[in-house]
Amino acid sequence: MELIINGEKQDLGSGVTNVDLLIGALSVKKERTAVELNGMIIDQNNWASTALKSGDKIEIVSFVGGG
Amino acid sequence: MKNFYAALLKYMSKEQIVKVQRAKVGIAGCGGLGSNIANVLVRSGFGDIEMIDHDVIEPSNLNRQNYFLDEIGFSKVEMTAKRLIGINPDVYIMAKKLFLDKDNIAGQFKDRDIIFEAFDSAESKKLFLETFGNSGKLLIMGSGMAGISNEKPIAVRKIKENVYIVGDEEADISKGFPPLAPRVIACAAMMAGVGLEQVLNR
Repeated sequence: MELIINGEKQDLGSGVTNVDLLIGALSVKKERTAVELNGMIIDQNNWASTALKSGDKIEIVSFVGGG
Repeated sequence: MKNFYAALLKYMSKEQIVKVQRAKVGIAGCGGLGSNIANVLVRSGFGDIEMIDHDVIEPSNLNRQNYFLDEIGFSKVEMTAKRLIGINPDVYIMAKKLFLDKDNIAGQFKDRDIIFEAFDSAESKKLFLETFGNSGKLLIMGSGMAGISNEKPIAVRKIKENVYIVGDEEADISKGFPPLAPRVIACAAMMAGVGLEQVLNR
């Protein structure tokens, strides 16, 4: 399945069917990562129930501490 | 010149001043980012600011936060309010002493048009975005301003309509990069700058 992640086309295979599986497939820390799918921020509580389809546009924000 | 806005007319038009004066701003956190964002906003003419932070000033804050030695032990939001009124006495300020967490954050900033995220922990930044990310409010967040290296510059990334991340998105205090004045204050000033630009372009 082809997804557009942070502006780049990526194919992470057919197993990545929802947002939770996508975040699990990337090397990011879940507790510091926020996800936007097609213009909507997806709360982590809804990652597993949010299905992905080919062509979806995803922005991943992996926050770092400091302020 | 006693009146701040009358003097600001030297650099900004009346229409521009009215826009920034009326914009309802919220600042979540009043530390390295928040105290400096507030300073830059008020100097840029913003006139309606709500700040939320539970903390008191500690000696280790003085390296980057906009506080003075004789303010140690005092409330951050109160001392920032005092500073802002010292710049422009006509500014409307709401200073709230509250520790923002997952149980209370959603009820905050209801009447605000713009919210600045100025927390220090990455987990709180995520909570902020998941709470307000679909609200339609203008959100300006900071991520990655620790350390001294400018190899990766502090940049502005628009992640969706009305949501901006300012920082290098890499230098992490939890990886041993210390929060030092130059990059923290630069990031805060850029965050305020994004707010100014967006409000003036409306």
